Amino acid sequence: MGCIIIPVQTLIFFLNRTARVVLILASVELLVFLLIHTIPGSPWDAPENQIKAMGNISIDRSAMERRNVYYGLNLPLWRQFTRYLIGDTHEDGIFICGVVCGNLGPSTRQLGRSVQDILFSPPAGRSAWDSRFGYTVRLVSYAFAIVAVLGIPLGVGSALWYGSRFDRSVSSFFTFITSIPVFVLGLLQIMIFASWLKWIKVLPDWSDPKYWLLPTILLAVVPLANMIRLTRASILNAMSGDYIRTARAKGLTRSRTMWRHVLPNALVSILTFLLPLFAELLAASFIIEGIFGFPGFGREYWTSIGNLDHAMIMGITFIYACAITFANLFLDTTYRLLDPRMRAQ
Amino acid sequence: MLPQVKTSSTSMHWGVWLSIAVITLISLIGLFAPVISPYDPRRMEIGISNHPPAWYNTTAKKGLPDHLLGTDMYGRDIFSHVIHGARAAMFLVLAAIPLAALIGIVVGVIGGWGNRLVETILIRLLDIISAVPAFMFAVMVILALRGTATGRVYGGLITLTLAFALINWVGLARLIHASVLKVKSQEFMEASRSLGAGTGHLIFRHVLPHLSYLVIVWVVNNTPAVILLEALMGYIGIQILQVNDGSSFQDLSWGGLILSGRTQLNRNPFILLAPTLCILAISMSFSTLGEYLQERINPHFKSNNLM
Repeated sequence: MGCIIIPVQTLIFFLNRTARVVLILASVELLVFLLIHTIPGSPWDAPENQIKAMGNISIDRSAMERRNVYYGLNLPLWRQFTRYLIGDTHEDGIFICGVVCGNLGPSTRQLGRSVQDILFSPPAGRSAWDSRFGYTVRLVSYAFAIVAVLGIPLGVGSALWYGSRFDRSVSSFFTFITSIPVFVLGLLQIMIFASWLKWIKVLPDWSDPKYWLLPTILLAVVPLANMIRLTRASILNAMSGDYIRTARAKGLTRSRTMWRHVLPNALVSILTFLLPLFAELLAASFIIEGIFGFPGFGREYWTSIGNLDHAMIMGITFIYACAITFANLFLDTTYRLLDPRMRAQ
Repeated sequence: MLPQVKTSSTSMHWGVWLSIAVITLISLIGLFAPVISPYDPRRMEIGISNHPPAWYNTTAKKGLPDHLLGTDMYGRDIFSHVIHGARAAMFLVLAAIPLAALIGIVVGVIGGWGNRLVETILIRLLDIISAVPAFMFAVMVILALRGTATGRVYGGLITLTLAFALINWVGLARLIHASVLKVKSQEFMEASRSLGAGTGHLIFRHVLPHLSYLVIVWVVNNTPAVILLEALMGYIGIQILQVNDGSSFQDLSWGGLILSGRTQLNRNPFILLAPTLCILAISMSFSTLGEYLQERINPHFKSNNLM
């Protein structure tokens, strides 16, 4: 039986990393939980929850009590947290599991729906790409593609022709464009393309791919500038290594040195930038989605922070934290598998 | 053939001088804001709300010669607001940047100097904070603080300072931590220690001077981030005081101007113009300066092309 022998060291490494991921995720949840519970107000303060029967008669006290019991808002804080994280027996005696089973809890803003239902289930008759999650993932992936496809060549070019007119114009263009606040760029885009040229609608139908262009470009601009800067710096760094002098001294041509020595060395540091880039794009997408009213995580986040929808805020932060932490875990592991120097440590 | 490295790109070219001039000018405007602003930026005049700039006439309203950049929805003078905004931005930067830098340096040095347990705990802490999106973190801190007594001090300046410091020390702490580890293992440290130097001497005389360039570059790169964060809060529509009793920091800041400009976008789009241009000028100046410093004073920056 062909079985793969896993060295004890590697096994310990994986257990260690798994424990670390669990610890980080739980702490992030605790941090966010404490923060949103220090925000004054209750989830029922929002106008749409003040169901007014007549004049200024609001929702009655006993109904409020029932709601609080249903959402566990009458419990002490620590029990609310364990209820969210691990699960709790509800008033009818049934144990309902928490985040550990993938249940992100009931939303207090959209009554009757759970957070995972709002975020991950598509509208009736549509594919999974049309869910909130699908929208955000698609937006981020398109922007990621733009950054990788444009950023690496532009950065390599800037480094190759260091100090040339090309280098200087690329760097000043991106310094200029990233100095404009991103929301102003968004407003300008809307004013130019929607109000003046009338190419798009201000409130577009997002299932039409042509409307995706503006938010994607806006999302990609700042990371693209960073990508170019990083690629340029790593190529310059690789070009000043001693082995380059050796390679040139032994008579290797300039282009061969470039392809055989400089690029492979620089690419390692560029690749390590790509995974954190995904997290950076995900974080930036919250703001971009807010500007365009894009139906992804970001819009859900902004409406729920205003209404103190605790479960939704914690759910979105949790998914983001998962993305970042697993990206880092993946990076660590691949490093370890690829680079023997890391394994020795 | 690849061209030779031009030293001119790292020397003090006109862009750097221009950046320094812009920063000095805006600081001076901020310093003397109460003297040079023509009106009190909080003074309302309902009769003249939403007027365009003095040189521009719309179909509905004419520009008023007394109000250079026009008025906002309550008839407040925008030119005075922009001038006071420079002052507000200056206060915010002077409060937030040193606080964030201090936390970052202290945590970074402790993490690099302390034993394995301390180091592990601090690195986990950094991991936890960076796993929450910075902007969401800042929003939650502001919402949590703005109702408290601390949040009302100086119209919410403390809230913004804390929000910024809490999200931005992490990057500096990571940088400092990595370089402390690097400096710690060098021979001159061993030499100094064997001569009987104590921890305090080693940290203050050897480690910190080695990190000064890092801190300087960090400060230059993060100063516009503070101003941008404040502007972004205005854009998202987050009031820095829960109940504005007329003392709100946003009544004087560029973020507040953007807040009112955004709500009046279809009536008076010119409100957004001035704060945006100011932020653009400041950000560009600081990035130019940051790039220059990065190439000039970073002892590890390599640009010697050996090919």
